[in-house]
Amino acid sequence: MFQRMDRRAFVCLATVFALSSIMLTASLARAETVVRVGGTGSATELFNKLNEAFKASHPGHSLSVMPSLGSTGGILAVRDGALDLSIAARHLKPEEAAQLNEASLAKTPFLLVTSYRDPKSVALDGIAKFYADPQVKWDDGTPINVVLRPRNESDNLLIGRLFPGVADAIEKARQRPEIPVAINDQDNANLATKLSGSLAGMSLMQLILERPDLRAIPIDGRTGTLSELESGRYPFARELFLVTSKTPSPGVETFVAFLKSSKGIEVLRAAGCLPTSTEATRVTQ
Amino acid sequence: MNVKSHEASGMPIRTLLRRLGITAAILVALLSPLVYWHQRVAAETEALEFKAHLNAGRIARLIFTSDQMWRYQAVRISELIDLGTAQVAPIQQVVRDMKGESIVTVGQPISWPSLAVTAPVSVRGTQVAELRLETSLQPTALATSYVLVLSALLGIGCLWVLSWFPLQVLDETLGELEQAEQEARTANEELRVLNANLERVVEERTAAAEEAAEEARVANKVKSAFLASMSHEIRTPMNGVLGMADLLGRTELNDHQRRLLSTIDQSARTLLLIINDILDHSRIEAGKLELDIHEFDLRECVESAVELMSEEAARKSIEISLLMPPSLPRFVFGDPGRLRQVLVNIIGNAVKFTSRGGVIIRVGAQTRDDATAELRFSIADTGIGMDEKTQALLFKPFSQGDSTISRRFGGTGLGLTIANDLIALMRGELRLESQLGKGTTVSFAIPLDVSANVPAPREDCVHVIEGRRVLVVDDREINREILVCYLRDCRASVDSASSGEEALSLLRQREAEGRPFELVVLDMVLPGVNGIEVARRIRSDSAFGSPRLLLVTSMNWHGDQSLARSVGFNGYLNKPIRRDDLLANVRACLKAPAPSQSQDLSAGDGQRAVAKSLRRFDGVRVLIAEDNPVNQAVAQEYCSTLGCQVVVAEDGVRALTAFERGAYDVVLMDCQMPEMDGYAACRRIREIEHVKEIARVPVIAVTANAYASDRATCLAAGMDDFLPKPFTIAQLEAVLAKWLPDKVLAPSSISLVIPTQSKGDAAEAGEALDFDPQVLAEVEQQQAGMAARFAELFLATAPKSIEQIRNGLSEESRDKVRSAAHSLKSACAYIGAMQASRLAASLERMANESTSIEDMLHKASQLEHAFDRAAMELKLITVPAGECITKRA
Repeated sequence: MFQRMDRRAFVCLATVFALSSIMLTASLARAETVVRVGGTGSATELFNKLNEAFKASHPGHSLSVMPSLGSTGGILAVRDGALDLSIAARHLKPEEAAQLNEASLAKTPFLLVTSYRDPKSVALDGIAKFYADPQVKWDDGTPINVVLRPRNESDNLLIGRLFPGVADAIEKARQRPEIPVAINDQDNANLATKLSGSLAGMSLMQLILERPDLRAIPIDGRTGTLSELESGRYPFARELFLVTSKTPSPGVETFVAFLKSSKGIEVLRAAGCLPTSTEATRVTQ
Repeated sequence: MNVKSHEASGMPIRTLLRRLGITAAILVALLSPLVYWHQRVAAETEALEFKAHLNAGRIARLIFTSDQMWRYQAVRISELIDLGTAQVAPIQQVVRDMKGESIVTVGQPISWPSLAVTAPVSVRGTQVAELRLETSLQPTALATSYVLVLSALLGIGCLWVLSWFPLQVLDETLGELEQAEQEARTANEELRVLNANLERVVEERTAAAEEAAEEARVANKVKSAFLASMSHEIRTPMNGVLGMADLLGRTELNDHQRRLLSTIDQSARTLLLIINDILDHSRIEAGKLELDIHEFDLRECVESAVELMSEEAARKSIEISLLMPPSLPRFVFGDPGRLRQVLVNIIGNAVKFTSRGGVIIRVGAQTRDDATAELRFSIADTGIGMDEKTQALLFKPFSQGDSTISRRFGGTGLGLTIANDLIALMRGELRLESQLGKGTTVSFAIPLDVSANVPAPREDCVHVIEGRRVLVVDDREINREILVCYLRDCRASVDSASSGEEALSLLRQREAEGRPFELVVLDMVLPGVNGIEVARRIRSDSAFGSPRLLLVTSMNWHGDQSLARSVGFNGYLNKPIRRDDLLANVRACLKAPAPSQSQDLSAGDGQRAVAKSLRRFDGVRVLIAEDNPVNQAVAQEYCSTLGCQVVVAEDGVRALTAFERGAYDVVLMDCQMPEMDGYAACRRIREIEHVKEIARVPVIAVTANAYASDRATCLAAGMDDFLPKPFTIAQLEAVLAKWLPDKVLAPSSISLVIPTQSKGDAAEAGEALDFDPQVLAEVEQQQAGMAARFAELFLATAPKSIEQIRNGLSEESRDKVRSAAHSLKSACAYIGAMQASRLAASLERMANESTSIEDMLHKASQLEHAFDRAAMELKLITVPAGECITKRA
């Protein structure tokens, strides 16, 4: 009897051990490298596209995409270790650069978009008037409803730099309380979509990836497409930067490497971005 | 309006308004900023809270997109919450996580004052953060300070409106009021000055009036004193004139001289009357006239007054009649002198203004109670009368109804005025009814206290007269009424006849019937057959019986007495008829033996002859205890006249000594004497009699106090009888006869010598009030020269009593005054100085009653005055002694 009992115990113990081993192996087999990514809101959908491609090419690796934190928020999150990688729409500030690494990722045309159905081309020097003069209307008389961004928002700074006289016009427009201010890129897209005759700034990447019901307004006859950017005929673009810690994780390095891969470049270009390695792209700082 | 009056509410209106204004100003100055501050803070709070919730919502939406990483969106948050914050005031927004860690801070720290609100930031129902908004309130404070400044200005405005302005208005109003008050004060001051001036004028005029009144009073006093003095001074020589004229009239004069003398005498008497009237009027006017109230004989008073006027009435051939029912109270309390004066005045006027007919005086009484009677006097004449206009002037002094009256009738016009004043003084009222040409009736009523003393019943009179048949013959009904009334009161059987013929017829008839009249009271003047003729017929014809005859005449009988005697009259009586005289004469006539037909009337006329047969008490020893020399002399003379042997003791002690030494049949004891009074002396006499076991000697009290109570006191002291002072010889004789019946040697004839003459002279009315010459006349009737001796003695001793009174008053010794007054009282009464006697009695009473010395001095002064007048009268009597008395009596 005792032998019989020892056999049973052995069998049981062996079973338990076998099961435990299987479960542990399965567990170890399922563990993958997750890179926490975030940053400017317009890149959120880009991260999702990149994640799909990255997971496909790099099994065991994936991206954990955080909601839009904005360029600054993403930088701070990387600094604090909350993110592994962030895409910012601006350069690092000196104090930030002391702690983090910055690398240019790509450029994407910066567009003036509208919910107006048939926007005509606008002159570059006439853009400021849209913000400054509330009486300016679309051709059919539809009022132009501009959508502003916070004063320190990178897009706000960018639009001020790209279009002459627009910075002052925006400041003037801020005095008009009826003009909405979008807190992030998604909010910006939503407001512009909802407002009739709207006028907002938006990257081609967001327009392509998020597909809002908006139309790009040609400037001086040029529509902001990737080709136009790449050809240099459309000079207005937003540059995207990768921000990582000084000591990036292997997963981060893997992902950065993916970005520079053809697969990665393909995804970027499909998203309306012209990777930084493309010489033909005219980058405007 | 006086602002101070508002202080009654506890706070002056000025302070109240100032405080109200200040309070309002403070409220306005502080409340507005406070309210503004509060409203602003509330608005700020509301706005801040709205902003906080708005921003909290924005943050929440932001966090919602990245709730795990929201802390890294500080910039976004700050951009978000800073949107649209075009703040006037600085604002700081702080976002903290639930650990309290500050995530976002927008704006600079806010300095004080600040306002902070918090709003939770919730995502999916869970608070994930907190937004704190703090804003500066400095703009609000600044604005509030502006408001404060404005409010302060507004407060000042309120202060001005509520305080300064009303105060200014109030001040202006008060100023106006003060001005008005000032004007009022000025007006009041002017009024006060005017008032003061007026008061001063009034005071001056009052002072002047008072001074004038005082001067008038002084002048009145001086006038009164002057009049009194002058009256006295005039009366004295006037008495001398009258006296000398009277004496001159007794000398040999031819007819012309006698007419001149008569004119002098009449003028002097008229002047004397006028002086008396003026004196009385001045005293009444000065309020100095006081009634001398004492007990008196009412009948005697009225009868004497009427009698005074009888001669004048007789001279004018008018009759004057007095009816006083016997039922009238005899003794009453009053001022007999003034009552007599009133009656004399009124009756005198009645006689004066009546030329035919007569004057009838009626006296009645209505008893009010046991002690008081209202006496009614009525004097009716058949004179000239007067109309109403004349009547209205009657009681004004120095006026007569018609100016022609004074020329026609003479007089001062004071008579009725004085009478009216005196009656008013007696609490009475004078009434007058008159018809022009028909006569006048003057009546008055006065209340008088009735004395408890009643006159001793005239038992002998009633005894003699009762049942006797008397015929009264008089043509005037009033006279018949009077005579019948008096005689029937004595229960006589009285018939009356109005003429001689009727009388003779009745006499014949009654004689035939066997019921002859025992007495005929026959008036002298009768229509047809006069009294003398009737008497002659009665005496000449036995058919008329043998009645006693009593002649009654209204004329003085001096010249007709012998004729009356010759025709057989048993007595005669003058009108107006006095009851006592009538009864005395009737009694005397009835007691006289029935006359023979040829009996001479001289048998009934005993006036002189009787005196010689009065010594009925020869050998009777009389002890007279009397301190007053006059009283001593009177008692001594009377006793001597009656044949008594007299021993006089001057006081009670000497009387006792004399009593022990000698044996006396009777003692005449004065009650009040020095050393030992009569009561004590009598008691001692009784003790001596008891010790010595000797027979009881009658002690007769002699006192001026004639009341029943005095009689009881005398009897209690052991005395046996009572002889009032002044007593007559008849009264003395009666008392002696009563107590010494065994000593009487002959029946009394004193009753026949009851004086029948008129007591006074009508023209001497004023004098008669003070001095009654009839008293001495009666004395003189008893013994020739006795009156003169009494008068001399009185004039020699009475001044001592006066002096004693004066000394007593100066020493304030009431006993001395009382003793002297008592002594003088009876002495004056004996010599007819009635007014002086009454005043001495009053003074004695005042000394007993503890009256003030001042009042007693006043009374003593009156007494001296009365004494002086009496002394003047007495001097006329004593020089030459005897003749004057004879004439005047």
